[in-house]
Amino acid sequence: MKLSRRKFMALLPGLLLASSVKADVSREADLFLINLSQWFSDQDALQRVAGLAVKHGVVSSEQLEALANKLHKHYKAGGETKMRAYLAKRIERDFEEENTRVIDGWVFAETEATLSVLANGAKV
Amino acid sequence: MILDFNQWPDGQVIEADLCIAGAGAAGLTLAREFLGSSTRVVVLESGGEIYDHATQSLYEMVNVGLPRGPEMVARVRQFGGSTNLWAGRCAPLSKLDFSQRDWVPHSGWPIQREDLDPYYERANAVLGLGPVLYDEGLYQAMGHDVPEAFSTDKLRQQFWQFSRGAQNNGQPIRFGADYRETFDKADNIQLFLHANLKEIVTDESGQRVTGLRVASLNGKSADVKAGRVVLACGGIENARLLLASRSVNPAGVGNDHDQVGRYFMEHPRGTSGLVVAGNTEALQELCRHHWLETDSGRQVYLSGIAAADAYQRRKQILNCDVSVVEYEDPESGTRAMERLLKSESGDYGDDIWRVMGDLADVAQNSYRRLVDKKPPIIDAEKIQFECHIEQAPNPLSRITLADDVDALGMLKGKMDWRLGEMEQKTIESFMTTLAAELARLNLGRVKIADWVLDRSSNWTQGVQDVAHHMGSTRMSSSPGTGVVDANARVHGVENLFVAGSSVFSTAGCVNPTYTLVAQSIRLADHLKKTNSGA
Repeated sequence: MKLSRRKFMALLPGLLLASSVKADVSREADLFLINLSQWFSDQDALQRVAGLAVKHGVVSSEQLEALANKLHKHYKAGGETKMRAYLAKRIERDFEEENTRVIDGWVFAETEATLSVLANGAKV
Repeated sequence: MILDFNQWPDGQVIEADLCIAGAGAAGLTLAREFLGSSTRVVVLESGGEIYDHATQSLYEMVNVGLPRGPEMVARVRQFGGSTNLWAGRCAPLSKLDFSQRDWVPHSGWPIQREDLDPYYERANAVLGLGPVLYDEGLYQAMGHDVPEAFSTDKLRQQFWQFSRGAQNNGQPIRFGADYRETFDKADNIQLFLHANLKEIVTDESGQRVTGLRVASLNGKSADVKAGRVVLACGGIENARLLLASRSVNPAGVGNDHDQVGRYFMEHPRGTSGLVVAGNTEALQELCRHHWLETDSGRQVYLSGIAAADAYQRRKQILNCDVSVVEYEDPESGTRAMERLLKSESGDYGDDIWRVMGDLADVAQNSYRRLVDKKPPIIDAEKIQFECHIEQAPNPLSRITLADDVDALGMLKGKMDWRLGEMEQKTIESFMTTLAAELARLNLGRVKIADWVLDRSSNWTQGVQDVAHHMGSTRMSSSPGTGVVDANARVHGVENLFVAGSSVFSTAGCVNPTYTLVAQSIRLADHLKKTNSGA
């Protein structure tokens, strides 16, 4: 099946959810938090982060577009494994370079914030 | 010899070569350096050997600045001073703390860290500390691998160690109790209890101290005549005494340039973040107690996380650090096992059940303890960061005199403690970077406390003072920018010196006692060297 960018975008939320490992949700925190370095296995958490990212305007449509293109490229080249490896590296680099966004006290890599919106299908 | 001023003949002059006002960590360290010498030393202590409320009440003051913890519990007016209640946490100031930083107004000491290094070494003996290991060298000394840590251009590990008292019972040194016998046997030192310094009297020029007025709460009074005088009454009282000594100059002693009492600093402390998810055990490994076995017994160290020098420069912020505060799982099998072994269990059945239900943890921590020689890591229900922020020197953060008087008729102090934007910027920047680094290393995700991110003046509601009183008689190279010179002599007064954290030009973010003890030893050396000028 030829995977067009459009199809990829439609599949992305489900893909990320299905391929994710267990997320930690802290009962002690006043806000739940997913361990975003492991990505979204909790739909509520995903929507919350995506909602916050949109609400706080930390993600632009250009960023969404750029990340979607990159993910599409890596998915086409090596499937889910390659896409996740790319994400891991990019998120680590964001943290290293302090390319971060503070949302309600949580510090997210910019890629994480963008990904949360992308994966949730939210519009900015 | 320890004497009770209440037994001293009323009005009889006390004579000495050197008079030290205050018998806390600074004053007794200084006096200790003169043990067995030919210098006749008099030490004046306001309190007695036990706490009494009437004496403590002499500390009451008026607060017109930021809210502060109750003064009545923050410091102790008693033989041994506030070491009667301290926790014994010690660490030196960093090199950067001493230097003039372009981005920190009024920063820079007239001495450098290198000037204090030999005195830090000597302070170890006074405070019952182990080897001077405040970096990763500690791991080598313990025979452990250095754990994977942060980007060194952002964060660094901060190390403290804990003072060990003479009784070696887990308590830090208590200067009063632990040095009592030493001073009682000292032939050349008269240590007066219940002797309150009320006023420093100078000649007409204000350039030489000619006497000290001393009184007790029982109505006794006398003058002290000494060649040289050192104020070691604490970070607030030193300034108050200089300001309240107005019989010659209404501005007080050593205050020709209106510097006394200014630049008052604290270490604002607050819960700055909550850690969730990630490999928190690895984080606990980075921020934990350490045991170093030495010839004189086990020395306890502690590690936390601080802002690296390069990071402070790059971000133009102050120094700050965090310690981890763990809220232990009450079901912890390791703690239950400890209670059983120490016969401290309140419910043997329950504790045995907890051990049985948590055998893997008990086994792991037993191995750590017995083989690795490391303190256990207890499962934590919650991990928080507690921060200490360096306060920028601010001339408007100050101590002045109030209108009302204390029980001795001395004007009370008035405190106007202020914090500014730079401290907020510091903690916001530091916590954001710390959170990013923890996420990068998968050590945890951090929820930064709301107050840290609050750029309005309300951010100060998230912090409290920690009774580290610094800066009110700061060290400076010129009389226009501080109160004492590089040798802790009051600018413009030839025989008056100050010891204690009130002379700190900047505060750093670590506990001040280690540095003030080192400075007291340095001052003692200076006084000995210049003895002929007394």
